[in-house]
Amino acid sequence: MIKKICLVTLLGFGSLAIANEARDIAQGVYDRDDGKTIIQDMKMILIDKNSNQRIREIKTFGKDFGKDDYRIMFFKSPADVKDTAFLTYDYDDASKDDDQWLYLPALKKVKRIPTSDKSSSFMGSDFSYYDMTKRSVDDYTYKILKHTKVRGHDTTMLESLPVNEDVIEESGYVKTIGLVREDIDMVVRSIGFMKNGDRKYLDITKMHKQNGVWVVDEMVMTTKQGKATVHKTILQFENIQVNKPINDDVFSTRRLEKGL
Amino acid sequence: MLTRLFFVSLLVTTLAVADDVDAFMDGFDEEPLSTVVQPQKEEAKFSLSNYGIEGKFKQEFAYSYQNNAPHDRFSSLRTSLFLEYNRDLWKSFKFKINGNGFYDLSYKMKGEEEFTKEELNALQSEVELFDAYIQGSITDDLDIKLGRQVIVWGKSDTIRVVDVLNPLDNRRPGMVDIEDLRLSSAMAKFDYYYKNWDIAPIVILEQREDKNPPYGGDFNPSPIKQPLQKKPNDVTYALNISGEFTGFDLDFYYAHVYPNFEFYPRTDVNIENKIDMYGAAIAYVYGSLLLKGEAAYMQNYEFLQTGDEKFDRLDMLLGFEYNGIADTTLSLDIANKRFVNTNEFKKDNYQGAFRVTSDFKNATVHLNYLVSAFGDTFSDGGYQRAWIVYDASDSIKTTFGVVDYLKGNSFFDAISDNDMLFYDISYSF
Repeated sequence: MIKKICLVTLLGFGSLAIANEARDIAQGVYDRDDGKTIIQDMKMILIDKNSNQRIREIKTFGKDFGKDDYRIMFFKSPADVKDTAFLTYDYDDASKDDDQWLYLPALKKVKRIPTSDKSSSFMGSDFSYYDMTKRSVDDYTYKILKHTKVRGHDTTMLESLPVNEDVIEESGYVKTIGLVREDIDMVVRSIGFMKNGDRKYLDITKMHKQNGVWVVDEMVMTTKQGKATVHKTILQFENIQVNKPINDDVFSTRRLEKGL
Repeated sequence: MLTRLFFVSLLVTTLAVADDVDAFMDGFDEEPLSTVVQPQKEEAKFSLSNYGIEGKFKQEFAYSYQNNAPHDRFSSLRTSLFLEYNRDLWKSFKFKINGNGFYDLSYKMKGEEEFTKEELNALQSEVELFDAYIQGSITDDLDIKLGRQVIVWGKSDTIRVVDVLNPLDNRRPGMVDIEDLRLSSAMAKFDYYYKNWDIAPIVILEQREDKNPPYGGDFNPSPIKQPLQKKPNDVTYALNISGEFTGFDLDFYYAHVYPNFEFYPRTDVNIENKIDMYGAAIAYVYGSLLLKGEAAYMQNYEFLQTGDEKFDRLDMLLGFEYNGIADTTLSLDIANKRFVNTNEFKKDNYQGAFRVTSDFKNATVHLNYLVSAFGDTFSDGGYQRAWIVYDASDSIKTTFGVVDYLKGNSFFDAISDNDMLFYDISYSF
């Protein structure tokens, strides 16, 4: 009996320790220094199952205002979306709705927009709005599945399960498996298991270190039904500048309307 | 023994999970992306975009259900070309000019003699200068925009309450979305920024009339020619004070302008007489909901049949936009417009507009539906339009749709046979 109690206690504490270690890894990913400001040119390549390509080119600026994150994006091509611009104030306080404005050249006005359903596609890509924001660590429980290598680097395979149905509803994912590079606390690959049975494969294919901060040069998100690829999005980043001072006025509706 | 069994079972489960995970990991493509991405075509040596010129070529077809010649069957075969030129000037100053030209072959095909001179002048061909302005910052806090431009006021995308500055293109009501509805006018707009506020005085230098359905056209049911009113060519002015705050935007407006009318013109109003508009608008975000409100009090309306007597009008709008469904936007706006100090024109006039847009296939297919109706119980007529847009590529877009005019008042009864199928294909460069 004592032996059994010891075993259960040992297993209990062991599981708890492993769970804590898993959560610490997730916290490490969340806390990773990703710079105070970033300026970059983004090329979004959308590829359908017949290999047809569509390309969007966007200039983005981002800045941390304390715990809040301000971003502005200017669309440079294709012609029918050129001069469209999007400004968002992403507040750390979850009880506060994000402020978002859109400038549509066709409407000729700056328009405040409500928060989209987070599982909506980001500009027709395989990334959802949820994929483009930082996940709250407390929204998931974590488990280490194993340790493995990705492109020669040691990684920890982490399973994340939503804590409740609300998180599933918001994200569109019932489970995520992420591969976290152990030396830099960065997710380099992940598989998102969607409510509808599809899977989304995220692969960070190129990155580099700038001013002490690791930044992504290229990543790809592939949506699959079983083994078949449904759609793929490649994001390529160029002219990346991290921690370069950006005037606060850049993150304003005045700038949104005036454009680049 | 029990302990041993437990560990064996745990090991087997772990191995099974690992096998499953490894199977999922096979889903990552190992093929280098450079082989997946098609090389972009080399920029042509001569490209208009190299000279700051961009544009759109469009071919439109409209097929009318009505039986009355000459507006039956193909009611429009319009070919149009839109061109735009942008140039950065000194410091932050920019110059933009754009315009559109169209020719409708259907008039030639059916025989020009079948149509009135007014209709041919208005709808057979046109070259129109839209925007032509210089924009820039004079100081850190002061911007100027000078030239032909559109200034959009208000929060609603479907109904105009405080949006009174630009004249409108009403020639094909129901077929034109609000983004193509406004006509540019020469104005000088100054924006002074102070904290969260933008104070924008505006001088309107060019007075243009609305473009209304021409006499003899399928949207002008009047059997007699209406006398044309012409706005005097003087200078009018306006002011907008707008503030942006966490969770909401607030605007105040004043305008001393000539009146204009959306959808169907009120031919009884004296448009040669200036009105004063005092307005306000708010947009408030609540999660995936955007709540909108607009109010405008307009003074000094004159009616042709009542001479110099002045009348006031109060317009109010409530609406919302909802983004809480994946890849879908719903919006509903309801407005009430009424003259307040006269029994003769006191009748409430309601207008409602409901719109749904939804994206499919990674936003290559866009489904849209809009219904707009007038009257106390929305029974005075209106229209509904459903259309699908397909992005065949980054530069080629096609649209197919149907518009259905709803009977109600005498105007809508007269045009209710104009239901149409429409198709267009455009190439942007």
